[in-house]
Amino acid sequence: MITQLKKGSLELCVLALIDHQDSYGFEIVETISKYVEVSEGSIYPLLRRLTQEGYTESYFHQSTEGPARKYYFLTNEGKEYYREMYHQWMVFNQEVQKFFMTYHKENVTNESTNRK
Amino acid sequence: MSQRIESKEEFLNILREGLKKLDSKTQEEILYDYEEHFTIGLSKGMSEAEIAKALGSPRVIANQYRFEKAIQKAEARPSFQSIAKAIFVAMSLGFFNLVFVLGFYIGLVGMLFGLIVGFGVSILAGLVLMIRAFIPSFLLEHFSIGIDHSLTTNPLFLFAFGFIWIVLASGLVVLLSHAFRVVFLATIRYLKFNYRVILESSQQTKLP
Repeated sequence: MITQLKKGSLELCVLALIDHQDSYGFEIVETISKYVEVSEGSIYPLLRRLTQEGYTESYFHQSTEGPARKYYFLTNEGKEYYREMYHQWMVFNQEVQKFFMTYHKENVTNESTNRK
Repeated sequence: MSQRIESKEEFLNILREGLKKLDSKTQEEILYDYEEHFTIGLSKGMSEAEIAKALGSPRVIANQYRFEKAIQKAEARPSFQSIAKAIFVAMSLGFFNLVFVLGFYIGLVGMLFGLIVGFGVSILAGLVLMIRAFIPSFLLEHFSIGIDHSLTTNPLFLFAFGFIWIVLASGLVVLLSHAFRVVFLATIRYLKFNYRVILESSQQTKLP
């Protein structure tokens, strides 16, 4: 079940990271996997789709440590899109929390007597 | 099948194989991203096998790109082939639930299609009726269509009925074609929605 929850939020995490700072693919993968267990291969198709939809663009930057890296940044549409998605996510989170506050019970041992 | 990929070469080969139906510019761009990923990983001291393992199945990754392409095509030109292709790739990614959704879906599409063809063909029948209106009744003695005989020889009736039927059947064909298009567009939206939601899981499923 946890994988289902992660899936929708991967895009949100990537957008947040790029919004925070221009980043290259490997770095995005590395950073996100510190917080969330992620299948790294899905990041690149996601980045490609974000670029095709006009939310991100990329440029190459020479690095001292090795070959040139492709850096991603958010376009204005991308920033707007991210803000909107972030807002929806937060609202959803709060709604679910409120729901749990009423209906979640710790240490349930018997079958619920509310079955119809 | 979850074979262990030991080298960058192996990974990229499987990936390239899965991407071969895409145009060469797209292939190059995609492969470049993974080349860069390996290069950077190696420069940070990881082994090729470790990098490959963390990336996941190259075949599944290739399917993700194929799906994006199929969906774009289907959106640009919704046709039976493009939608079927998109569904096919979606199934390989594991999210066009086979038994329940696909069965129902095929039934719905089949029914719509059958109705369109049926009514379309019946337009011809309407034409035949209209033509009969102009044929003298004595020539038709042997070709009764089973209704009250006086009606079937009344040219005015034949003509009017034929004409009305053609109008009705054409209208229905147009309506049903519109419904067909609506189903196509809904299918595309359904596939896109599911893809965004389960993008992650396809990496963790063992796919043939």
